[in-house]
Amino acid sequence: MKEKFNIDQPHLKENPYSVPEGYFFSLQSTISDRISQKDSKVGLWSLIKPQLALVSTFALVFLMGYGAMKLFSPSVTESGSEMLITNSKTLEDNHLEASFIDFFDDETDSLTKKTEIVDPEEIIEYLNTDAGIVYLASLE
Amino acid sequence: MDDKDLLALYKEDGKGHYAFNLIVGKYSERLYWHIRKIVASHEDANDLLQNTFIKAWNGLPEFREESKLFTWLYRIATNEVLTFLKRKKVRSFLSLTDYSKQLENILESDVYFNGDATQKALHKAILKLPKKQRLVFNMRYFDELKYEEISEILGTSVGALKASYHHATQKIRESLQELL
Repeated sequence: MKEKFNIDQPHLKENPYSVPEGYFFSLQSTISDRISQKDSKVGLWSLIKPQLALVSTFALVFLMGYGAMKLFSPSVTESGSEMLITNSKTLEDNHLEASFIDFFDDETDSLTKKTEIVDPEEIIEYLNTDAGIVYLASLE
Repeated sequence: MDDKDLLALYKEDGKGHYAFNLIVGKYSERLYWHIRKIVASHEDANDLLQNTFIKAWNGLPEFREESKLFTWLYRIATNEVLTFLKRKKVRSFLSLTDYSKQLENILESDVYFNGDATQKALHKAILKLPKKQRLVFNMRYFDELKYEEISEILGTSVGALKASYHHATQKIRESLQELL
């Protein structure tokens, strides 16, 4: 009868594994460094978190307001001719308003005001913002 | 310094890091060998040990001293090992490889394994055990922990642990009988 293998031999309980030289000596500083790094990262994050929350809130409110404006703005859904009428009306209103302001504003008095030189790029920009003017000009 | 003094030192203002370094110095070797005998590889054991201590550092403020400090650390290390083995098992399954075979190969080629043929056969047999049985066997056989201590660490009844150890011992004996 085969003898049962005796696993309780003291020799078998010895540790056959080893580690690289100095491993346990350097382990403490390795773990200490990792903990310090972790703590400094956590510190920075807790500093930034409330600021980020505030910025996100403002961004959300802004987007909601912008979205609502876009949704309820009349010029977005109008057709071409309707847009023209709307823009002409807006131009007229703006002209009236401008004349009213000019009446009281010395800076824009045509008798005394010197001729200003306008940057062509500013003109292009102005024309691009209001396509109605360009359309009117093209009709002439 | 005993655990009670270490924990008292940890709670003192500005002494947390210093106290924790002492804890690492006191328990790192024991925990390392506990982990190493399960995972075989030094690199894996090193990673798991470091993770254990990082988790211990994070959990220390909430440690209520209901168990001994060493039992608590042992439990963290054991959970790290179990999670690691679970991940390895899934990865091996997906890549159609046998993880227990991989462990055997690690043992064969490991420069940090200095045992003789019998010791190698024993450790190969241990690596073939199911992971929880492996843990129970190592904690009883190598670390010589009492069943009550193992029960506290693993959250398993003493009766179940005794049965587990008995089965593990039988399997290892049969395995060694075949190999040698």
